Amino acid sequence: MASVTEINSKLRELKSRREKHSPQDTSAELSIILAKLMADCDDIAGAMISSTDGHAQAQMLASELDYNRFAAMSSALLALSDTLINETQQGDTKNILLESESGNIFILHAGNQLLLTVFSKPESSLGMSLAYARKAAEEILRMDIELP
Amino acid sequence: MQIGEEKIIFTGPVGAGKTTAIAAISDKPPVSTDVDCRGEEKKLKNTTTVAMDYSYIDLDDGPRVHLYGTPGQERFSFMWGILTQGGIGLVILINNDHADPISQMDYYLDAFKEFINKTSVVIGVTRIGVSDQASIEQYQQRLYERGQVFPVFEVDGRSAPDVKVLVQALLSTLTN
Repeated sequence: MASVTEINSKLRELKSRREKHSPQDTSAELSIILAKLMADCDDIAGAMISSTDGHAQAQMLASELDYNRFAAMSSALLALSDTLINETQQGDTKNILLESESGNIFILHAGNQLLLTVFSKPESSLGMSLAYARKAAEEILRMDIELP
Repeated sequence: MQIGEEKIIFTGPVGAGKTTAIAAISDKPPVSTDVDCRGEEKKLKNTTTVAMDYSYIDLDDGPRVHLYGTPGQERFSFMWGILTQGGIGLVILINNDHADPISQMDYYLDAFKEFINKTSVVIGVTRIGVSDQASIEQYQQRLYERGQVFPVFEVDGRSAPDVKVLVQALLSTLTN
């Protein structure tokens, strides 16, 4: 895995090309954010960025996992959570936390069009992985991506 | 859901009018999980359902009927099994303004086969006035070829009376 310094320099390089970025550049930038998230926090086992309408945009998951299905499921869960939270007048969803016997799953908004799904390792620190996931979601938000 | 109440499910392809139909007959604004469409789907419409629509209707002298709408896209098919649980019947809406609407009917009849075998289905065809791609007779003919007999109606998904006809027809196929 690349070092944090290498990842940061790659991220800066891609950001400098923002003005004329292509969908491939966007996907590469998002992949770098995921790589950084996983390098920064050992508790995270995998992560995915997808659109609110359920299409995967970038992912770092075990190869046997079908990330396309996870992308659709994440968008359905987050949409339902937003609907419930709005109807009960509690503002916006900050994140969804799914706790399981072998790790947690977090789903967070990352701007208007994207969402971040993070899978944490068994026995991991919930607070630590959620904090890193939020930081990554904020970075994606700052990229201000417009999907086609 | 309480005793005497029923649950039916609306399904069909993207742009057939599922969310609109449920809103048309609902007593209250439906629960909706619409998000902005992107890519190819944006050519069809602006928003799409990613989890479900939900509402209910109190029929005159009849039961309260809970109405659930599914997402249309295959990538959300995991929701189909979840939403049909406890349902008594299915409404399939087909947009006639499509290159091959009959094959779309086939697709949803096959996708929901297990549920249909245990319950019942009615088919509502929208946008017949906009497109003459297929006639009601052609839908019936296709059902006949499949060895199935289900009611097929021409409907305007925005019209409460039209959508109520679908719901009433579904309930009557179940009581017969």
